[in-house]
Amino acid sequence: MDIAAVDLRIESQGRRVLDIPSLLIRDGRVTAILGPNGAGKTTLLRAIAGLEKGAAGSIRLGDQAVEPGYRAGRRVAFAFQEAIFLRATMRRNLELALELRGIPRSQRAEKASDAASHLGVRHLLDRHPRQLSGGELQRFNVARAISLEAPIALFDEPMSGIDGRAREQLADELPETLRRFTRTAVIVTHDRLEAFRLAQDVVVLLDGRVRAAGPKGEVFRDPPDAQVAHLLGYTILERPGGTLAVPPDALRIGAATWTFEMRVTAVADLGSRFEARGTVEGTPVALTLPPDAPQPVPGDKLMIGADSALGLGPAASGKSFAVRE
Amino acid sequence: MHALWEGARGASGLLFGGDPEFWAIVGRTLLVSGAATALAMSVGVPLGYLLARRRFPGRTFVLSLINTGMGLPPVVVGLVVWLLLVRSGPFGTFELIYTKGAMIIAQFAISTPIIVGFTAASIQALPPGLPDLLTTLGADPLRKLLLLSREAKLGLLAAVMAGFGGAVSEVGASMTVGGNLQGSTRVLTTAIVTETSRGATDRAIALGVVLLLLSYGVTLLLTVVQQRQQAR
Repeated sequence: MDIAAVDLRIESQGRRVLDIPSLLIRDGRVTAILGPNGAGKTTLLRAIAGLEKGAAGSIRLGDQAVEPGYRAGRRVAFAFQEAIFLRATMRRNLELALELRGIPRSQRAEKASDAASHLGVRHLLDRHPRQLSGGELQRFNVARAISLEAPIALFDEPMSGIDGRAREQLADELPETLRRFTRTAVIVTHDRLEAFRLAQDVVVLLDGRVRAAGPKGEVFRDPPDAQVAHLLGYTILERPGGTLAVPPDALRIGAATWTFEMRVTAVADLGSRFEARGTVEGTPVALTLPPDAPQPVPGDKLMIGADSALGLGPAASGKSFAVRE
Repeated sequence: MHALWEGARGASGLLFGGDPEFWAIVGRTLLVSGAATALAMSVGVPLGYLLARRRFPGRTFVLSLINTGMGLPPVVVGLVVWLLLVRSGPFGTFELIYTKGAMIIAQFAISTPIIVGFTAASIQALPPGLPDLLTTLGADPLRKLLLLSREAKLGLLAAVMAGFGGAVSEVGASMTVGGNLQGSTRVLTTAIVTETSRGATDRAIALGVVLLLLSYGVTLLLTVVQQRQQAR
């Protein structure tokens, strides 16, 4: 079912943390809410789950309005950022969640076990929370949410606490798992790569406002302003007449359609390659050096360029004044 | 030392002798303090929960009152309850003064702040996100309270122990509002005072031993339950 917010406004301690005139999260898709810390991402997720009592405006799940309280909670599954469990085995924790949703006793064990299997933690079902690592708890956190097979599943930073190979594996498997257990999934993240890997649609939230929303390719290709472009991984460079947003990995050494002078401040050996960091007229930039390129040292000036970039209006103007070249 | 020895001998005689008045006092003590603690739990636990979870103007002030109340001098509580229940007082028509009912009310007033304070602390020690988690899982308010209470069981059992301990050990309030009437409102603490003042050391010691055993027995029982939960 669709999630539709209209004139949604939430204040906390005199500060407006969310101000969304209109937002549609589409049915049957995985949507990432992308934004920096403090952008209002978690508040939006909590409002969808009916946990924000002071919210003005409305949120509808399908054709039903969200009213704060536990009844709204029953229509969605919510995996909070902090993986919280009761003092009981993980099996009991998962089965309790199913019990609270009214799932018959005869089906609970199988559903809990199935969800835990998909997250690779089935063998840990008889452990207690204090016997598990942060990553394992986070997997159970996601498992508990998907086991409810709710039409809408909300995940707040589902990868937090999971590192290295396990994180890669979960990122690979999660989209399929979501398709299997839920219809509409909303994933809050501050990591653009995670957003693009997991989701089909992206909503960019900055300072409590939706600054871009739509299929991820469209959002990436057409950021409305420099702030959003920066969040999407573009390098923002000022030029006479406007701002240029250079896509990730488009910067290279040598002259190109757009050429800049970079002052090198650090060179890092990343094992398989080198990365030069520095500034272009005060703006931090980073670029990967080809293996055969002469290695610069801090203080060097490098001629760098990009053949693809977007021309943007001034930051936060909300308008793009030029299309990609 | 001789008096202590004689007292101990007399105490064992009372303990194993089957004196009906002695055992009536023990029973009355359990009844009065047990009822006061049960009432204080029924009011104090929900109140402690609300204080821990809700934010409202003056909350800190209320919490400071509760914390002060945890150390209320029983004799002052007794005086206030006496003023309320005495025949010329606002609730004099209920004719509760110098009854077990008056003693239960006084001990209830002593226990409740203790139980509220312990409950609020134990609920506040739970993960802050736990209530919201239970809400989104679909727990109705009553189920949520039960699940949270189970999670806070260690602290809540400590609340019962402290509440019962506060009630059973006080003497000033029971003396003031109960009157220490033989066969009616005399409980272990007031009986100890009476027996000591009239020189019956053996009976005073026997009553003291029983009071300690009673207090220890209840606490032991609750501690066993508490630690069984902790071991999980």
